[in-house]
Amino acid sequence: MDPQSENRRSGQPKSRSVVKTKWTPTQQAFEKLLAAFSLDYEVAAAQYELTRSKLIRFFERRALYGPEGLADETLDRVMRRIDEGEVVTNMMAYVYKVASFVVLETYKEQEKLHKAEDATALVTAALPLTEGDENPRLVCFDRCLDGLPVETRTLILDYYREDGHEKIQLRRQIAEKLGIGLNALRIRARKIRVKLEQCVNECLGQAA
Amino acid sequence: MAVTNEQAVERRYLLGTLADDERRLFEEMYFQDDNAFAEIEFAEDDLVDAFVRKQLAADDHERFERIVENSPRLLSRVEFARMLRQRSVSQAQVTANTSSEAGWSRSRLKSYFVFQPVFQFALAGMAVLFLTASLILGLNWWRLRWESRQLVAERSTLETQKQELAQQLASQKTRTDQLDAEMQNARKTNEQLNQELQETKDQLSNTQSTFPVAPAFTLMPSGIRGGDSPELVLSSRAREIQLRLALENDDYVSYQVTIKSPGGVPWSRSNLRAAGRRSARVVSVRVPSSKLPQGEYNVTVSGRSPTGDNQFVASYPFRVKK
Repeated sequence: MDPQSENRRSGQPKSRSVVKTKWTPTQQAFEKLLAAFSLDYEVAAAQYELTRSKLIRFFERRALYGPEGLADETLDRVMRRIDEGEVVTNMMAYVYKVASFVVLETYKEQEKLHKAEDATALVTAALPLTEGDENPRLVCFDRCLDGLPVETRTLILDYYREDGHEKIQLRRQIAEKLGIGLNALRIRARKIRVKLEQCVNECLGQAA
Repeated sequence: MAVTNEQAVERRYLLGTLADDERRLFEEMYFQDDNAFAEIEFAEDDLVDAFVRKQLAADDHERFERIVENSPRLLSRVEFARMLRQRSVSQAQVTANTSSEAGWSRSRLKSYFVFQPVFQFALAGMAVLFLTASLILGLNWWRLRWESRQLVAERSTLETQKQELAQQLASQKTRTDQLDAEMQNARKTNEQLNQELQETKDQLSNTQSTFPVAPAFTLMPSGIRGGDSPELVLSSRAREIQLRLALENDDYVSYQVTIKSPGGVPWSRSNLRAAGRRSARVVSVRVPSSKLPQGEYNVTVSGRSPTGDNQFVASYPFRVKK
């Protein structure tokens, strides 16, 4: 479970980027929330993390600032309702409903912020990727890529090498060589890609 | 590369071009379906790669660029995809240089068609038609899939409820059976106890009838006492009575007792012996109560001489009252 979840478990209030609630999550409330996901603690914890990821993507795709904070705000609201005794029969539908309310509330508040921050945000975001060894991202990328086992490194580079028809042919050949199906190959390649991306982000974090 | 209906809808969602209702439906679906959410993650990879490789249509490219600019996470992903692309290509450089003649011919042929304006227009038209059809089909497909998943979820809920009810029913039945068994046992025990009680009652009744406590009456010879004959009050429960007939002298070996009533059949017992202290010898006889209805009676005692003759000893009149 992520540190934010740990904060929540310890019952400490967490700051929100835009929307704030007066209610403070408690350990007991958090446990009730987990129980609403599943009675099996491990399953519930995994489900909690997945739900948080879904919420982050959801808010991000609605072009709202601070998607992580909004995801936590949504989960806090759901936690509060459950703690207050609300019986939730379809947990994910309920989470989505609460998230939709959070979107509506946040749109108005962020409208002003959008206007104020547009210029600076775009300047920061649109910075082109600098070429050369000095680019810390590239350094991190190469370091992480070299850290992979040879077979894994070859697989990920081959998988993303070609375009169009050649790409399909190549992926078919790789799958055949590995003795797995195309879908299994797709899943395997994505796992490597996610791992590599995480490694790069962690490396950049350390460098900063 | 052929794009499936599903992928087309996912891409429209990621580009933010789905209508509000469609987007709401789509989001609601992936919130409840983890596999669908995973598919969107794949679709995002593909979109990022296509963006980096400049394979998106111009407006889609522009749209996604705006999205990326506002998302540090996507910006990071785009940069990552760009580097992955660079490294993949450089890794494959040698392979690319040794590509076959057939590959070259194919490339030339491709270039020829691509640069023909008519072909380009036709291709663009076909692409638009294909994308429109894909989008419509894709949305329908998503809607059907969503409804289907809803139905499956409802069915699953019903199944769960059904199983729970079956378990409760089975549990209830077990409890009922247990109670039935306990009731049967209790009934059997009750019957057994009733039977034992009845047997005890019967035994008591038999005991009473077999060994009744016979009331005893002592009668004196008529000449001695004088006056009215004594009255014996018999209980209806008494099966028999004991008459103790007092003797003035005990001169005989054995005695015979005969009870007579006016108009009644005489009742007698012989070979009776006198008992008791020397000064108060009595002859005792047990008489069934049935032989003594209410009325007047006279008891005659006669003694048997050593020669075998019966000689009158004494008489004892009495009355019976019930």
